[in-house]
Amino acid sequence: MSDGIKLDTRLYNFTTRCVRCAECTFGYKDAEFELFCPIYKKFNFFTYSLGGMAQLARALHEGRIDLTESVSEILYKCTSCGACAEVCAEVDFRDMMELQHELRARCVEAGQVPFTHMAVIESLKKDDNVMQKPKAERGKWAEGLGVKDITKEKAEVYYHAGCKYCFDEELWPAARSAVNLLRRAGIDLGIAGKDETCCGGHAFELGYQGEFIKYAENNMEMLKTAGIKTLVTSCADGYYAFKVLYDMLGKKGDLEVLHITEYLARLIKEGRLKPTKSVAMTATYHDPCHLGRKVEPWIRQEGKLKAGEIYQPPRDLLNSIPGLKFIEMRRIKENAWCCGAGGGVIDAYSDFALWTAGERIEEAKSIGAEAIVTACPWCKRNLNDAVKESNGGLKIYDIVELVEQAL
Amino acid sequence: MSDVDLLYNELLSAFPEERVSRDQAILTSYATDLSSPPGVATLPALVVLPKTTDEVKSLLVAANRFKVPVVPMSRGSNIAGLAVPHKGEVVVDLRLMNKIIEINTDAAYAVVEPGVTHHQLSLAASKKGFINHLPTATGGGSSVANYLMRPSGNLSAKWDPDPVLALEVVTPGGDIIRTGSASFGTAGWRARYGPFPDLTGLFACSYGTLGIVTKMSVKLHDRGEEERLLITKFDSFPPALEYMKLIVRRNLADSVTFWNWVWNLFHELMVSKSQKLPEEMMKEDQRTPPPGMPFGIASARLSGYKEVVDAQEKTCIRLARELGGEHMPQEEIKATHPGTWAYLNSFFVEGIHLKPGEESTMRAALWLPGWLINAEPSGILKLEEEMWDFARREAKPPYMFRVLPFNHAREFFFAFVILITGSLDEEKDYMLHLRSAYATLYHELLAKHGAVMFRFRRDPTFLALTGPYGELLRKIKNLVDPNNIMHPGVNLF
Amino acid sequence: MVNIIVCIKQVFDPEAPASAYKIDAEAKRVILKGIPPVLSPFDENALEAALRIKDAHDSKVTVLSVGRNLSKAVLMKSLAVGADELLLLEDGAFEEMDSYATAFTLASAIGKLGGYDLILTGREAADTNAGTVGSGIAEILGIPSITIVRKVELDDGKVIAERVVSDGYEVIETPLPSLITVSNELGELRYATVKELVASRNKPIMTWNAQELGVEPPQVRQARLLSLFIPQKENRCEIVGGETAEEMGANLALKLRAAQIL
Ligand SMILES: Cc1cc2nc3c(=O)[nH]c(=O)nc-3n(C[C@H](O)[C@H](O)[C@H](O)COP(=O)(O)OP(=O)(O)OC[C@H]3O[C@@H](n4cnc5c(N)ncnc54)[C@H](O)[C@@H]3O)c2cc1C
Repeated sequence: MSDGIKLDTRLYNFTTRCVRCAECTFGYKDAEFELFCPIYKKFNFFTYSLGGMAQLARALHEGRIDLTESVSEILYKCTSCGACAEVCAEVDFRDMMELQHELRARCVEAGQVPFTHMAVIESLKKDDNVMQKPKAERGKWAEGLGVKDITKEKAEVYYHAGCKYCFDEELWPAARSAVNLLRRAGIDLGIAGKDETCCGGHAFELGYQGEFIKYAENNMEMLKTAGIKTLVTSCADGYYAFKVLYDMLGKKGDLEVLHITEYLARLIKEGRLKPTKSVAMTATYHDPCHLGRKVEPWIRQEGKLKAGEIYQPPRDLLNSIPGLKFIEMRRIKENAWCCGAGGGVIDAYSDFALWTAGERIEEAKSIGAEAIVTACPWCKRNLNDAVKESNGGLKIYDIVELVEQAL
Repeated sequence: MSDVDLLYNELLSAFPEERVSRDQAILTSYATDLSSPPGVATLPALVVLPKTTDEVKSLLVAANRFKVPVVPMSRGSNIAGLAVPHKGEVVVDLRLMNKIIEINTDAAYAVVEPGVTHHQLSLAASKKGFINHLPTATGGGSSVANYLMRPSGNLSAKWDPDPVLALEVVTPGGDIIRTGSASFGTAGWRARYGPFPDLTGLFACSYGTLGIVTKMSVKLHDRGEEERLLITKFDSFPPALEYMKLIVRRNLADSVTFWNWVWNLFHELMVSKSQKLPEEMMKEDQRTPPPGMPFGIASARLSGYKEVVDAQEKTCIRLARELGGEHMPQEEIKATHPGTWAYLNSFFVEGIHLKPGEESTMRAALWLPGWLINAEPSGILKLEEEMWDFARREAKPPYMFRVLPFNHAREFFFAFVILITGSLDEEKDYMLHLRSAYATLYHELLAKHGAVMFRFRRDPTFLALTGPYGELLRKIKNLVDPNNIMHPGVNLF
Repeated sequence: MVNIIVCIKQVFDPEAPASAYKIDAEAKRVILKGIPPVLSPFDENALEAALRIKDAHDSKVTVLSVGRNLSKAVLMKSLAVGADELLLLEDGAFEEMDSYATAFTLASAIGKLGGYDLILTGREAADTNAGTVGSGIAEILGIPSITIVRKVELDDGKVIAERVVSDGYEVIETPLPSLITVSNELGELRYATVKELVASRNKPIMTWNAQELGVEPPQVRQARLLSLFIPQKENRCEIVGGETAEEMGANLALKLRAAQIL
């Protein structure tokens, strides 16, 4: 049993201003109005769209429905990719994200969350990671790299690997490549090894805002103690957390947050890294939501948060690799089709996550790509699993690996 | 077991489970639209997502057998409560019937299913050099449902405003009827009329009370080698109306619409990135525009061969001047009203809805459709006066109006829209007050100015005003739908 | 077969960071944004104690929880780790009960269930830290109880428990049925695998409201909440002076004695 939900006036207004225009299920004209909301494309009922969820939220506020298990399931099946809010004329992106954050936080408070998420959070609390792996194994990915440990030595730039890279052994090479490349360019780099902790972003997106605050406070404390001014990460979720969520919380201060693609593109432009070797393939690029939509709109809010989307740097990187033919899919940048892993869907509804990735793979195949390159460990993991499921035919790369190959 | 349970069980044998729902959480989203006051909603009994005409047929036959009423819904964007349940009906959500079956470039028409959106259709038509009738509505709305209700917006002057040709309709009895040329299996979908009385027209403006339309052929129009937007400004409404009248009578433009200054400021919101309505829109005296702003502008779409368009444009500008109006060259309007320009140009020239999102549009307020009404030009002039009176009496600013002429100047559409800036929680009474004020107003305006509601407003007393016409319709309704399962809550009959 | 009942309270995660807490002083309510309800930690220890007994003896473990807005998803964790059934006492009337009303309600439910051998509770709840409900249940049921226990064993109709005291522990024996309140020294609750979580969805969950339980919680509150606030903590730092290390040490000792710490 659970009570309804009272929203604040601003969010309630948003729910009543939905005109049911259904734009939230389409991409723009540039993407030929292809459907671009995964949950809607998969489950089809109006309910599974921003408009439908707005009506649902409205009903929760007006006390016409309780926060039942079915309601929670609908809310948690959303990959939280933000595509809908990009096109909605009635609501600002921030309001839509805030509504989602709010509803999920309420689900958490009511204990109305997928049990798989509870398991993720329980292990996060115990082991400081969202991969349900023992804390002690966190530093393993960097063994033998001989990179500085910022908890012991001073370094100028901190590399945050993130839970996914730390505990998913198949993804280690990309994190190791990142460290190698930055050091090769002469960057004074440090990591936190086994003392690194989760950024908390995943907890936030699952609605566990309290848990998130804990990690934000811990991380900023650690960075402050180590005197770090610049943070670079290969993890798209981490980038979003440090850059947007920490700022929303008022904790980011003047920490410079960079995604590895931004940093590498900058280093190549400055001539500090020179890709010369040919990497022959026809590849397309998949925009992670956490490097695009989910950070992009904040920049519009004058005087407010300034984030900024990362659309161009990865494309610049791909174009700088000799021999690589870079081609675009139809649904790109703010129109991108989500990989399916986001918003905790990969934990709770893995079949749906794979289906969504499968759709992306089909799109890549349809334009003749041999590989999908991405810049987010969650996207890579999910796309890779979907490729395996469909018996291959296409390769999935982390962009950093390709840059290293080209050097 | 209740009738709904019986129906549900039967549907489970005809539909895969993931396309029939009675989950309260799913149903809740179908209960409300923009017109629902807070806290007021009726849940549907079920929602079903058919994919084919045969599925629609089996659904209607079963619903008819168990006498469970249904509400057809194509995309549900009508904003006036026409596709939400009113007494626990089954919502037949047609969004998965979304195929464009044919674009016929020879005879210039398209055959589409009801789930096809304006976006889909205009893009497909555009790729072949055609434009469909695109209302100034949402691109996410269904072309079929919109055309069935008569679209207001684009292409309503030079071209016949009724884009509907032939239909495929499933009746509650389970018959699959095709109208127009399609009634003869071999004649194709090209024509509205055959040698018999027109049944397409019976289903138009029936709001789902007679059957479910599962296919429609619609007119397409040649885009022409040149497409242009012409803006002229006027300091009051009467000359603007005269200008529009002449334009349509003399076939000078594909369409023309007049927007008062409040509308234009509203359009401006699209590029202003503002979440607040501009100060000026809130002023009490909405009859007088703020300094430096014209009372309103007329936007006309011109298309065809370049020489012809040039000449048409010149003529329109001359007409405007003779009536005391003035041409607003592109550079001028782009500079003074960039948002208005972007909006109108995308609609009337590109024939595509403006990409929203990046530009905020209507976030600042809840917009409550006011009266949508049509009349002769002389009646329309009086409607403007009525509107100012009504607004002074009943409404808080901002309110805005727009007018566009249909069919060769015998029928003009007048839309009066009120924006509600507060929260629906706080403005509930105001909203309900306006609603009841509108209800009496429609009767008054019909009596005084011969003005007819453009779309049905769920007021059952109107059909009675038509006397024997209404009686005949009732007989037809009884014949087609003896159990009255087709959208009874819409209150047409 | 040993019939064990474990009483578990659902509380808001006590490990949530302080900055996530807000107080609505007027409504005397704690506002916790995005903080999940969890099983109260000492109650988890109690459940672990029950499961250890179950590991050794043929037993049935019933978990009992009372409140309003109980989360099945959260309480189902007890089923996933090995409890056999869950009984939720859920009713508007069960909201914000004081210790006495809670003990009364739980005792009524236990009485109605009947046939119990051992009742386990945590030593105190993580939100109120009152530590009286366990003993209260025993009192109402008229059975012996042992509080703050770090080890429980069953032996031939008796229970042998190690009770924590400040300088060690006492070993106490009582006949069954009896009630034991468990402390954290007993050890953490075991983990549930995702598979166990999935399987737990098929275990029985019963819900009784006040009417089904057949009792109304006592109307007269034994405790009333007067005000709710976050205590202001003040840290003062004083440097104790002195010429030499010895002198500094002596001065420090004097200060500590003055503050009645030494
Ligand atoms: C912001 C906004 C602005 C708008 N501006 C305009 C405008 O300027 N001009 C304009 O013309 N419209 C406008 N509209 C209205 C709207 O876009 C159209 O009416 C819409 O295209 C209708 O399609 P729909 O799928 O949403 O219909 P629905 O809402 O699904 O249905 C409308 C009615 O038709 C019935 N119906 C639907 N499908 C079928 C079917 N297949 N068979 C039988 N009956 C059916 C329903 O029962 C209902 O009574 C606007 C809407 C919005 C949200």
